Amino acid sequence: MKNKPSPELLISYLCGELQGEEKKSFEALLTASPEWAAGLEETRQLLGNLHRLPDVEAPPPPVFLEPLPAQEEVARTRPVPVRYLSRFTQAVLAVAASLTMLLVAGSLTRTRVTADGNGLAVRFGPVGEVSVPDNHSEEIRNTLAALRSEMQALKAEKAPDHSGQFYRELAGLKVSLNELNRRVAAQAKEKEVQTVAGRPRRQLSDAQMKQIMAALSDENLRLIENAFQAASEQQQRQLQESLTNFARYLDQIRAEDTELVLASIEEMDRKSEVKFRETEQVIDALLESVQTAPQR
Amino acid sequence: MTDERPLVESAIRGELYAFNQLMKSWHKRIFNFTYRYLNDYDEASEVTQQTFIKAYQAIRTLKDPGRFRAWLYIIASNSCRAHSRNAGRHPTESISGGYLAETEPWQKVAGSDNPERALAGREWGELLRKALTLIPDEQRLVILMKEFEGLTFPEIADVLSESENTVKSRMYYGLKALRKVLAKWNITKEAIHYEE
Repeated sequence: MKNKPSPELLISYLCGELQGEEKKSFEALLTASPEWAAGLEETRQLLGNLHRLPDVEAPPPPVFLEPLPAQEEVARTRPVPVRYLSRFTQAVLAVAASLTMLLVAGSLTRTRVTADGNGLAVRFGPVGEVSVPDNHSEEIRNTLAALRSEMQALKAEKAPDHSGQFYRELAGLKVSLNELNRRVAAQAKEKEVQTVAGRPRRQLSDAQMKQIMAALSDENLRLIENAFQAASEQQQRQLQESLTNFARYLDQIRAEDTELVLASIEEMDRKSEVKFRETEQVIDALLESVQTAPQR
Repeated sequence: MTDERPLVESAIRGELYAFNQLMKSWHKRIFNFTYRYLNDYDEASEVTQQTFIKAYQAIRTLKDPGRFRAWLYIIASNSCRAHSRNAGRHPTESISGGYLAETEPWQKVAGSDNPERALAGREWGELLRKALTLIPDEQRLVILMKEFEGLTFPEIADVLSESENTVKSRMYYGLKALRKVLAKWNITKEAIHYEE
């Protein structure tokens, strides 16, 4: 025999996988080469001896008492769930969370941020009384009180879920402020007309009216400025939080990728070690056959 | 073994009783598989337990109930390899300096200095277990799965994610390595006497 049969063929024969013509031709080859037949016989005997190796007594099996984990729980234990949230969804969630936090914190501490020519001021606690002239009419006081309570109600109760709603409410607030201004101006004018007609209930001079109007305008401006200032700060914080979240997300992805690469390298190492050992054995077998060739 | 498919399907649906029944029927097989791989009773108990805990955690992700046996052996093989790796076992550093450097441990096993003494079945069993641990891991896995667990070559190829020819080649070289170890220990077929 010139060529030694492959290991795969030898094992197929030993395990009874060769049938018919294939088996006959293989046995003919073995007959022509007694030393290979002897080697094969030794391997067959070894296999027979392996089968005689008895089983050992196993320890008692454990019993699971907890219910089998649900599929979603199994999935939860696997890493990288964050990867499945799109960046847009994460950004929207971050913005919504930031807005909610700001509104809750602002309503609890009654924070008031004001900006004017003297700079930025932050105040906490209930809104202070707006100074009005002593001879201010009761109706105007009531109007101002209604305006404040409306503003507070808008701030505290109608927490915006997203920026679109928030800005719509701001626009609504502006409209209601304009309406109140218009009403106050109309009342002042009516009083003036009543005075002229000789049926005055209370008299207000032009200077007083101007003062009241100026106070109202200032108040309105402050409120609007406060609202825009708060919105701007919210946006800034949202942006910062989004950036922080994104950096954290990048870190996490990097760590997971590193872990994956390390696992792949380890697996590659293991496989190459196995291949190395197998190659070494093949070389060993070849060397053996070369050494035994001259003796024949 | 009776048809276990209904049990596997029930376990996949989340029935704890079915899983415990499966574990009861497979525990001894898996334990002996890990014991032959590691040749240490306590370590084999630990690895068997780990195997069933992993199976318990992942059974509901098994898609094909017909693949349960191969799937269980994948978990057991991976657990054995991971345990060996963590324990820092390197049985075969090289073909000439590894298992062939081990000489005549049969003396310790048999308690005799006479190499011609016939080995009784139990002693032979211990020697064979020791010899199995001295051949390369991948070859040992193939021999154990084929000769002791009765897996077919396609099943073993599935478990190890290798081709059928690679599996057969590993078995051939594994058996050859085993013969070499036994020859180095001067254990011939004449030295083996079975007490049956």
